[in-house]
Amino acid sequence: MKIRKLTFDDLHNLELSILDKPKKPWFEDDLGTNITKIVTLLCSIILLPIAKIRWDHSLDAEVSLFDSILYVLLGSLVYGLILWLIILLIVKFPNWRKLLDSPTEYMVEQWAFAVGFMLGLLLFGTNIEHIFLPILSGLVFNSLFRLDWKAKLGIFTSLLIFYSIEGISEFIFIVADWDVVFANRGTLFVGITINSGIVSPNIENESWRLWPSVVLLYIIITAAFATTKISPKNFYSSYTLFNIFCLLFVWYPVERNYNPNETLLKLSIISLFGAIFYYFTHRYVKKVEEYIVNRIRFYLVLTTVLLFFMTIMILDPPEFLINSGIAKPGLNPGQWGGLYVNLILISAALVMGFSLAVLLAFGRRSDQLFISIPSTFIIEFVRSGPMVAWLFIALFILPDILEPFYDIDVVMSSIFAFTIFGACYISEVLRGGLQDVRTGQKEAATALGLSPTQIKLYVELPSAIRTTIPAIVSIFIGLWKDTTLLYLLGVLDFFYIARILPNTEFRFGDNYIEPLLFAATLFWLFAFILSRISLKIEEGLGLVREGGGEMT
Amino acid sequence: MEIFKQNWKDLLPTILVILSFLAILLNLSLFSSFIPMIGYEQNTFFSIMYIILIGSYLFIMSSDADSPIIAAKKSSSLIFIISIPLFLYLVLRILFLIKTDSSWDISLDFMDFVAGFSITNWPNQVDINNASRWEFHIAGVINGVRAVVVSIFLCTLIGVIIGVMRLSNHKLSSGFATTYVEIFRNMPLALLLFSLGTIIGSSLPEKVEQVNIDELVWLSNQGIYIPAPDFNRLIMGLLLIAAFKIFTSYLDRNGVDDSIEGVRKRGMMWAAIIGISASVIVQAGFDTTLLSKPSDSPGSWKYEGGFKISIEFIALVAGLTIYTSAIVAEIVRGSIQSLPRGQVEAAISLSLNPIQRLRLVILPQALRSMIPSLNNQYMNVWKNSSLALIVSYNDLFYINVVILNKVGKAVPTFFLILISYQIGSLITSALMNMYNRRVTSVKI
Repeated sequence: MKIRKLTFDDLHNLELSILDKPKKPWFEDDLGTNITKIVTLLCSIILLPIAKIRWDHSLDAEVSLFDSILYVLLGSLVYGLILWLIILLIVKFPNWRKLLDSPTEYMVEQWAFAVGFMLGLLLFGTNIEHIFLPILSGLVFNSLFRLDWKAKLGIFTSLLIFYSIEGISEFIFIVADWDVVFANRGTLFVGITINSGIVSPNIENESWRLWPSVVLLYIIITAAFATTKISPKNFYSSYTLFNIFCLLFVWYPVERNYNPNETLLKLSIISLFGAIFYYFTHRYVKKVEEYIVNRIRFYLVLTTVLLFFMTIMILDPPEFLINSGIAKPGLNPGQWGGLYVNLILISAALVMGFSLAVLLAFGRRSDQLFISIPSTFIIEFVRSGPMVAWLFIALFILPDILEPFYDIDVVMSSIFAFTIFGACYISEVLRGGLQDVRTGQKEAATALGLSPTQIKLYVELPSAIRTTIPAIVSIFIGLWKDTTLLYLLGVLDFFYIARILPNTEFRFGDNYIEPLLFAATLFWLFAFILSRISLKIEEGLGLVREGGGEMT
Repeated sequence: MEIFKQNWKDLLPTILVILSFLAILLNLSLFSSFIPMIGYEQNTFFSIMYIILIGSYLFIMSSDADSPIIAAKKSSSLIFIISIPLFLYLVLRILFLIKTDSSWDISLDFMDFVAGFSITNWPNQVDINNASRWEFHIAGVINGVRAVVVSIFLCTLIGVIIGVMRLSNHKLSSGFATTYVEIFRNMPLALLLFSLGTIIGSSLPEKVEQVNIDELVWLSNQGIYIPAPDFNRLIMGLLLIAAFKIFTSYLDRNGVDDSIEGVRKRGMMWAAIIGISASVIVQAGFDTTLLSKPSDSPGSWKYEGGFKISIEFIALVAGLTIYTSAIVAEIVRGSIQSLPRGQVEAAISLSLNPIQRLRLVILPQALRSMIPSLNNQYMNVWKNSSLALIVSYNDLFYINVVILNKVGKAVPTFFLILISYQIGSLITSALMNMYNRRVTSVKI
């Protein structure tokens, strides 16, 4: 990345990009740039006392140095921008030269000035000391109503930005008390049961049940990045940043109620391991042909499926394992909580929903009526209702149906609901992809002697998935957002815990927005990263080289 | 016998199945003492038989090399065999539940009784003490539709503005629009609604500190009260405008007169008719809100008259609007970007100003490709309005869940909910299709 020196031209360009040139300027270009210079100087002088006021404000609120510096910088910068724009607007846009030439004609033309002036008089009174205020409001009014659209838009948006940044930065740096999040960070991520094991020595620590999944997750993610075209430099930098952020979050000593050493050690070992794994996979992928890379990707998908079932197995070993003495009873799904419940649910939609979606999509296209009619019925029926309704149906009706052989609980029934719901939406997308597969491909496969099942699995499905990946990812983003609905059923997911955090201690009673903001940021970040990845895939779709060198 | 000698391998599974079937049949009726395991553990035995059957079928299918048509038929019959027990179980279980479980009783009789709970009442919507559950259900539908219509209108407006802003070459506004879209498109709606509900509810003043603007507008966390116009006069005014609209479309049947004089004439006519209808509405006076204290008991202050906008309504509409407008903005951007560049250049060369360019050239054409996706989004708004549960706004889903909690008849209640949502979606999509037909009737 090349860092260029900021020059005055940048400032001038900024001005032009926001306000544009006036249509009939009263000044020459040189004078215009000089005016901008003078106004900038003036603004930076005015900004000093404003920054001082903010600094005092942050000192009164007794926040940390880092917070107050950020608050002062951000606030003053936005304030300065808006001040700068308004002064430039007032100085440059009215046609001062015409005013000198023929004042009466000019005044008649500038009706907006008169209106603003009267309004100013009404607001500020006719006091002779404040006579410049009505004039100012008249000027502002004049510039607002008689501007061309670009300058108007610039002023409007910069006002919007000013107010939103002002409010948000004041809240984040001054008002908010983030202790409530830091005091409960364990609960937010691993849920109440596991966290109580971590915090208090008397309760058995069950956190080891999550570590194997974390290791496998790191392996899958790093290997997946290694098979893409993202350059190692980019990957290493963002990977290091991410890990440092994680470690800092675990280590941050304010309101820490657990011993971080073990977690820190494990996390750093795992991240190092992930980096090494990435290095070797990347080196291997660079050497080999494309089809082997595709095979690696396939293995990665299989590992993801394994990861999903392994996580559930380790968290809650099924009865036959307990009976045969291999495993001890684990946490039943009612005791799960925190972020990993959301992750388990979304991977249920990913793993089981996707396989069901493939069945439904082929079923709907089947020419056997007893297959196609039920598939169509299920898809249309499920798509007609809202997600909340299906979650409630799974909560109330599913236990009745499954009662004779399986005692289903809330988390399992919502996993079921997510699977069915996701499957129906994905299958509709897949059906579109399947309809796009050319007949020639199928005929060629038939001529090669593949059986119908083989044609479906090896010819139709891959090309359908290839064209519909962006749509499928956007459905996953929707499902990921829908995992927040679980709190309506009383599942202790991330959002539910963020909601109830103010109730944990008396001193946090007022801080209900901070955990919500934290949860929102995390959910947003996840969805945003997914959408970026889908964009990358979409861009790469036309370019991916399907190799078959040695295979043919 | 000859066939048997040649193909005994193929026939083996069939014979095995027939033999075991006979064994079970005889075993169950007569000789249970001979093979006790089958007689006592029927579940296990049948499950094992089922798995063996499917496994042998798969084995046969994989070893055969049939023509595609026969193979397809074989695989579909396999699916048939697999699905029979599941299907039978489902049907039998449901029949059993309908007979035994009261929550599976699918009659809707319970909806005729008095509901017995209270909801935020829109003017004279239901008689809370005596109304039946059906009336409450309908009130819920009306509440839901009210919120959805307002948010559809607002989200289209904001979405178009943001979408156009995102495409403008003005760096600041396109950056602002991009930030808006990226933030709210990836934000869970449930979280947004919950935060909005709490923030709005806590930032408004309490009832004792209410804001009062000239005794006309009352603002507190109980709701916002504004003066209400007379209902009949409001209808009259709106009818007047509608009649005038029909009249002008009759005048314009041979094409719109878009000369300067024509435009001025039309503008004058519209200004006149709007003025007339406004005066019709205003003349009857407004029903303003009064704060009264009917009894001496503490806390009995209440508002009377006026039009109440409840906090829940505002929160729901704000949440739905913000969330959907980000998606609508993306749709608008996509369809404007798909227009050929020549259209804009032609508009520039006709010396239309940017607003005219947008209103007369770009948006009418972009509308054609926008409508199908907008239709989808409007249906999503309707379905997402079920999240009113989070801000405790009394819509269809909320009321039905309360009824479910009181009565406990899960199946008919959910049946009713799903049917209502389906009807709403169908109506939305029918309206949008009508509009679509009108827009696409002009071929370009």
